[in-house]
Amino acid sequence: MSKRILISIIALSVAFVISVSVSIWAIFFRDRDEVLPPDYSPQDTDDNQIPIPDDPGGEIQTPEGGSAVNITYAENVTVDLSDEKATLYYANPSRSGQNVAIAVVVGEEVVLRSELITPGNMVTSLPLADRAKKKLTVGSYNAEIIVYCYHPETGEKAMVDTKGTVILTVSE
Amino acid sequence: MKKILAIALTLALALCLAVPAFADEATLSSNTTLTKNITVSGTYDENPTGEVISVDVSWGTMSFTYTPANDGTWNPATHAYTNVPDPVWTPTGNTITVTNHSNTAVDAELSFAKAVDTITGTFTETSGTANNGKLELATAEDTEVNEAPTATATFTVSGSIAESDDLGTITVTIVNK
Repeated sequence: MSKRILISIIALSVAFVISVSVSIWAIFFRDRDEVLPPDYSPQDTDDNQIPIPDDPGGEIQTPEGGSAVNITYAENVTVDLSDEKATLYYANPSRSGQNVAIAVVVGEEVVLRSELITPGNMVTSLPLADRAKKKLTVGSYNAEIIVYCYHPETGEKAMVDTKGTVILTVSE
Repeated sequence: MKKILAIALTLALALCLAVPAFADEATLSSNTTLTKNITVSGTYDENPTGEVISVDVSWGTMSFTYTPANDGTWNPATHAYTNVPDPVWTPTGNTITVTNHSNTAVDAELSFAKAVDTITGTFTETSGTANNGKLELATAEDTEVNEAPTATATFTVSGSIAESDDLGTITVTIVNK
């Protein structure tokens, strides 16, 4: 075998190994923006939370030693790309026994996340996540709103999460 | 010259193998469809935020104690162990209740993401209705607040664990019917 052919085979082999390695990295190890809820609540309450008008109060009946939450949300979420904000409705009424943090996701892409929303408060506007600003285009998406519950005193994340479906409409 | 060109092309083709792996970097596709005709229409949208879903979700302490099998009692007359107990899971506060306050019927789909590979979680509606972890709740329209449609499921764990640990997370998914 001539030296030139040997060098060619080695070069091609190296290129093949690099290609396969890049493919494996891109499929399995590339950084993705998945939702990783913290085990303890976010430290700050969300700046966008406002008191719920005419909150009826009350209490949800809870098994002894257990917890309860009320989730109230509108199924339409709108995004205005020009001001990089989403308009939505999520309320955590005072009868909820939990602080919550919400996320809206399209597939695995996080469109927005809130800080802590305490009982008796709601949010109607939240800023878009940085990646979402670049990846969303005008149109409608089937999305999910995920609600993470945290104990109001210990901050520990509840064993139970809740989520629902929403329609995300994007405009310029 | 031909050989060099062939090698260069082969190298380029080999490097192209990695390109499909980047396919999901593309912009998220929207559900917008292109239509052939352009129509001008006016829409009266009485409720721009869409339907408002409101449900209460309550759960117990969700504590589970696992007692593994042991050797039982040694019987010297037979040189064998008797009364060998089966492993047992003892649950505390293992119920989940969902109450619908929406003006539409909803399903509450229960799922369990286990953190320990050797266990399995199962949901059973308290009424005994066979289901796949789905609680069906009627609309709350025409009901009093304290008589809102409600359903309860119990959550049980089977399998085994080797040490005390978090078992996983239950997710309640609300689906507007």
